[in-house]
Amino acid sequence: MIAVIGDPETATGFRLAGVNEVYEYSIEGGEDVARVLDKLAKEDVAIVIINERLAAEEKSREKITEINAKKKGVIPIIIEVPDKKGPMVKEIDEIGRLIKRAVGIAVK
Amino acid sequence: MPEIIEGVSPTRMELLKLRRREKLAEKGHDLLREKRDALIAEFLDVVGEVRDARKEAEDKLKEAFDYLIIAQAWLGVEEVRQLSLMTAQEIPLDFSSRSIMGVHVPVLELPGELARKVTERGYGFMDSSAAVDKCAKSFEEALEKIIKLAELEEAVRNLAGEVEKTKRRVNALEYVMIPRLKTTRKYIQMRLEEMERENFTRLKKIKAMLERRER
Repeated sequence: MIAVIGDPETATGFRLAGVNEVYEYSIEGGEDVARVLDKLAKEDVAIVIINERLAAEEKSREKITEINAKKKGVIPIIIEVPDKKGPMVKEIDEIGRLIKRAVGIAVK
Repeated sequence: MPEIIEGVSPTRMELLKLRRREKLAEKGHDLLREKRDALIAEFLDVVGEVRDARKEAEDKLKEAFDYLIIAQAWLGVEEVRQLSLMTAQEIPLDFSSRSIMGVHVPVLELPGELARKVTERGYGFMDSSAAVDKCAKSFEEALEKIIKLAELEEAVRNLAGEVEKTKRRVNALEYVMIPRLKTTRKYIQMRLEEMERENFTRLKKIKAMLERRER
């Protein structure tokens, strides 16, 4: 099952694509996003697609880290996608950080 | 000089035990090193793919948002929202996991085509427009790309964790465990030799004393 957490545009778009587990949020809803993530983690959701801006919210970020650390097996996969404003400029590039930690050097 | 493992007594038994442990540690070290190298090679492969996949997915999503904005301009935001609510359907998604050197990475598969025909989307023709069709289509494509990306990113995350763990083990063996075993073994060997020499001189001395007494 696929779930989407995003702003109204993202939600509409993915509903049009046929996803029915869609949660609409504006940026201010940090608490709620964390709760929804928790709920989805307990269910049999394979992919959670979340807006970068929502995921960057402190509480959501904590929750995502927590879910990733706790999960057994491979699901749920939480994936962050940009919203209509385009990709965020990230302070830390997650993949880059992983590479650095794993290999010891930065690989472009 | 690495420290000696504490609490070992310098006996022949301990020496044998240590030799066995050292051999085992070295074998384990070799194996783990190979595992680490293989994992890193695999990891770098996937990393290359991930970067391309992310770019592709983001581009596609951007395109989809552009179409959404056009559709919203034609029909109005609320109308598009209403239409989107009609299209909801369960997307079948198979997931399983594959193992790369003992690391579980997800495999996500869409059993059917994500892209549907216009008639299958569930909203009526009367109140929608071509812009909505285009928008839905590009979101379907974007979703497909995102699913692929999710699979790859998760693989990278899991592989990175495993690489790190393996690296730590290799280093622990190489820089702590093996040197410690080596010095401890050398220490015991030296002690044993020393004891042998002591014993030897002691025997000589006793023999000389006994000989003197006999005379």
